[in-house]
Parts: sequence; C-alpha cells; structure tokens
Amino acid sequence: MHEKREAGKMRAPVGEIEAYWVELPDGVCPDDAEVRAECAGVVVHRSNPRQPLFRTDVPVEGATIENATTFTTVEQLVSGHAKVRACPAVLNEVEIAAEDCMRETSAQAVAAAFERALRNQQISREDYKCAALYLTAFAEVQSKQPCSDSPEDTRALLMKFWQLGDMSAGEAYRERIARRRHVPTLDWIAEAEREG
Amino acid sequence: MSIHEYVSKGAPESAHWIGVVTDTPNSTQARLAASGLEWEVEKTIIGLEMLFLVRLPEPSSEGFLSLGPEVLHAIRDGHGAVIERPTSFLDAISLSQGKSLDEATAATFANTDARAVEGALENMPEGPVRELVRVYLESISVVQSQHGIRGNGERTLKFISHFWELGDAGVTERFLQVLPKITGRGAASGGLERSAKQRPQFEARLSALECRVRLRR
Repeated sequence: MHEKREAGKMRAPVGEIEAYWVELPDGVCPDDAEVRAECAGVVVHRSNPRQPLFRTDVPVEGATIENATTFTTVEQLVSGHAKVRACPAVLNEVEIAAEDCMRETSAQAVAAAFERALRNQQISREDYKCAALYLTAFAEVQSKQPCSDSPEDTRALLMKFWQLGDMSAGEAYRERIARRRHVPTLDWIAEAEREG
Repeated sequence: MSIHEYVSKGAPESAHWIGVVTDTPNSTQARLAASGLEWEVEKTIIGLEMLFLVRLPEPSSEGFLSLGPEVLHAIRDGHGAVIERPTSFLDAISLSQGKSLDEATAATFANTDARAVEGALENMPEGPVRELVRVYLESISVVQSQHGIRGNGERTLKFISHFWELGDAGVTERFLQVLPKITGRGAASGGLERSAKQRPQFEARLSALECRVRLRR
C-alpha cells in the first residue's frame, strides 16, 4: 500500500516532459486534427475521441508569456491553418491518368492519382493523408463553385498554397475562384473613348 | 487564489491541460479524485510512473501560466490543498472507535499516532475525501514511525486539520519542523519499535521526504 517517495524521481523521466497540452479548437474536425498532428509529429491524447488533446513542448514549470506563441502554433497546426510538414516534391511527379479525370471534380481526380501512387509506394502514407486534406478542401470549393481548373491546375495550386495549411489553402482557393468570377467585363467602347 | 477557489468558479469552456508525471500514482489519483478538477490518465511510463493530464480551472484566454505550476505542485507533490478543509468530515472522525487495520492494506505505519486516525477513518463514509485524508495520514506517519511517535490520534488529527491548506506533504514538512520539540518532550518514549522488515522501506521514504524538504528550502 505504501507508495515509494523518492526525491530523485520527482522530475519527469527523460522523454516525458511535464508540458502543457491544448484542446481541440472550436469547430475543428477531431479526425482531421489528428491527421495533422500525426503528420506534424505532435503527440495526441485520445481517451475522448471528440476531444483529443495535443501536447506542446512548453514545460509546466518555467513557462513564460513568450510561450504563448507556441500554444498558438500548435492550435494553428491542428486546425489546418499552418503547414504540418514540408510540401513533398514527389507529389509533382505523380502521373494523373485519364481514368482519374472521370471524377466529379479536379481535386478528386488528383486525389485518385495520389491514392494510386500510395498503393504503388511512390508516396508515403503521411504525404498522402496530408495532401488528401488539402484536396478535400479544394473539392468542396469546386463542387460548390464550378471552375475550369484542370487536375494539373489543381495540383499546381495545391503546391502553391501548401504552406498555408489545408484549411487556409481551401479558403485561399475559394477566394481565388470568387475573384476570377467577379472580374468585370471590359466595356470596349467606353475604354476606347477614354483612350481617345 | 487557491485551487479549490478556481474549481468553485466552474469549468471554463476552453482551457489548457498540464501533464503530471508521478511515481506515486495512488496519492496523485486520490488528490485528483477529491479535487473536482477534470483529469485523465494518459499512460503508464515505466513501472509505477504514470502520466496524468489535468485540465486547468482557468480559461485559456486568462493568465493560466502561473496556475499550471501551482496545480502541478499540489497534485503531484502534495504541496497545497486541493480541496477546502473538510471540517465537518474531520470533526466527525471518532478516534475512540478505531478499527484494527491489515498491515498489507494500511496506508500508515503501525504504532504511529496517524495509524490511530486511519483506524478511525474506516468508520467514515467511503469517498474521495476519505481517501485524501488517508494520503495526509500516510505522509505524516512516515516521520512518526521513524521517531516512534504514538498516541490515540488526537494530536495528528488536529495537526492535519489545522494545517490542511499546506497539502499533505506541506503538513508533514511543518511536522518535521516541530519534531525536535515533540521528541524533546519525550513523546518518543516508545523508541523505534519498527521491525527489521519495515526498516528499509520506511528509511527510504523518510530520507526521500527529508531530501524533498531540503530541496524546497
């Protein structure tokens, strides 16, 4: 019944720090957040599937106000508002076959190509899961706002917006399409008269 | 503000959690169970060491960074009360009706003043408060065992009740401070009556406890 009380063992052992953990930010899908955490190497506590916790590297003892940025960083990572890993260049080398392009959206076509690349071990599981989050966000935009972006265009935009994180990339893509759709038609006559 | 005052304000909508690594998981769990804090067991690290996760009772938008270490020291080390002194519970302990305890399951050492209280504790309603009081008794009994401090439990119960806010380890540290006076008055007349079997265990615990006191000074 007696518990051992040894002064030397009061500190956390090597490899396990007594750190702050952050909760899942409001409105974030737990499953997606866990994928992001896994890709970023953030430790997740999953006892409650709806409310996973994510470990920061901020120690409980000795933390200062400057550490607040670390909390924000982890929250942004798991929310999809910061890149969780470097953009894998190999994604550019995946061939998008004609059969992939039978999907409803270009983003889904790219996802199909990546899925095949995963099966062929051309890309890693983490790269695939991470890219799939971006493509899901893009597909959602494309299904609501039909656009002329080809699968190749979509992949190029995926690479371009990668650093934003998947959710922010989706928002950036939505804004891009919205801007494209609202370019005012040029009145040739008015322009000509203005020039004259 | 003490931990129980934060807890009494109600759980915040969003909050940070802290990891608590301990090699005394039973004591840590007893403190947590009584505290009203939200907590979870993350994992067993090695052997008895466990990692608990504890939700801070302060919104993440507030200045919680000073609260984290306070909760850590109270939950992990027993420095600081996790609940307000349970006055009515402590007052209801009847020392004259204590039970004899099985050595294998008792938290306190035999032939100590704290053991008399633990025997009486068995007549009290089960629950987290009872287990928390047991943690207080376990801690102080280590010192009492070393110095042969026996009795009917009355002084230990009063001492714990009076210094409750210090937490279980804090109470024992305060007890160590007055120990020279207690033993100087001959309270330890019974001498060291521990068995040879007990010696290594409680000497290790005592030296650990004394080391902790030195470290904190």
